[in-house]
Amino acid sequence: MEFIDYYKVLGISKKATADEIKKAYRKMARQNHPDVNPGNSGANKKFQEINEANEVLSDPEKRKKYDKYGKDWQQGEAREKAQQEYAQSYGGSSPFGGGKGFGGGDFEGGDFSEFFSSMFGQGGGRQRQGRFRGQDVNATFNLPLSQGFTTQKQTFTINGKNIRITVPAGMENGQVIKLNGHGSPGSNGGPAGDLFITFDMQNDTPYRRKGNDLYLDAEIDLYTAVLGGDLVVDTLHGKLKLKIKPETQNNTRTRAKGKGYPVYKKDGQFGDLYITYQVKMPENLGEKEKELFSELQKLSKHG
Amino acid sequence: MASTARIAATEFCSYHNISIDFITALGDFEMIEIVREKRTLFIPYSQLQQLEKMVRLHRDLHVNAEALHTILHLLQQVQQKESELQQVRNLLAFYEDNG
Repeated sequence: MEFIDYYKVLGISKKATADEIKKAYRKMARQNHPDVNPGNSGANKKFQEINEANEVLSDPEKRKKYDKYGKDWQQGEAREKAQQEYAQSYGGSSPFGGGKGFGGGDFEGGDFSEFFSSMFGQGGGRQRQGRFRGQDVNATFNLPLSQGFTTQKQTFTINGKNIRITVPAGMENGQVIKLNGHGSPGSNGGPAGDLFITFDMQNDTPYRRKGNDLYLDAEIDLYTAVLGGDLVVDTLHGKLKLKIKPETQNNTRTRAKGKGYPVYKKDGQFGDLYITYQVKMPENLGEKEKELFSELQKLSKHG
Repeated sequence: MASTARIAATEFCSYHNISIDFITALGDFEMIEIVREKRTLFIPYSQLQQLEKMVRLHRDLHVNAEALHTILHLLQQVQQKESELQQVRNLLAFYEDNG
């Protein structure tokens, strides 16, 4: 458990007046409020820190205790315990000097750090009347492109609870699914926050994806490109037989309608698959082949 | 709308310890839908999540309905830009794969 410098958190000096504390708190709260920083968990954490700092520094009693013990708060706590034990045993004032206990209030303290709870106790926060909605939780899920091709059930473990959801086919990279009430629990009986799952699509296929369309480079040999022929390519829908026309040029693109990626939440609808033919030149030619190519060159009308 | 799918504005205000004027101001700015029946104001359940967000901002940041209107409008713009940015990133990834 680490000491938290509440003055540093609010960016104020140790001599700051109540007004300066209030001003600093409000300024930082405006910048870091979770509702104006959606999806920014860093801001959420910062907001909790500044709330805690304000909770301590805006309360004269708590500030006094905090200032008194500062970094030595653990020893201070032990000393305070000894004071209380002395007072209980002998009554009256103790030789350790004054000191007033904290406590009271029924705030659950769930939003406070371990340091705060240790110094001021679980009941150390001010009693709040409002019920607070829990924090929204953001999670990222890595989904292979091949798996995202079909609708499937996925189980997530959030806050120790297993949540089973249906992930529709055709998720886009960076797409977010919101699950109402599956975020952090609320305080004082407030509703739970929401769970936002961002899908990070990992491409584990030879295809490139642009929206619902897929793109594939398919190699064909020179002879098939010149004379025509058949080519079988693997698609996410299964094998696809393509007719290559004679005299097909390098980088010719053909479209296989409806053989692309599923359209999100549109059953039976798919994008297209674009296949670009990459003509592979023959290598390591034998003498005979070279001769025949030379002959072809002489015959060629195209030079 | 079924009568159960809404909450009386006074009940909501007492739950959140806020003034009814705040709710009516949000209604005037068309930031939330309020149903008036005879002399009673009701808030449809569908509006509650957005309204609670406004209440948190109002209470935590001490901003009035006018400022909230601006904040939420800007947040909406940010969200829209983020969505556009994601689309551009995906497109960029496509061309980078091509390279």
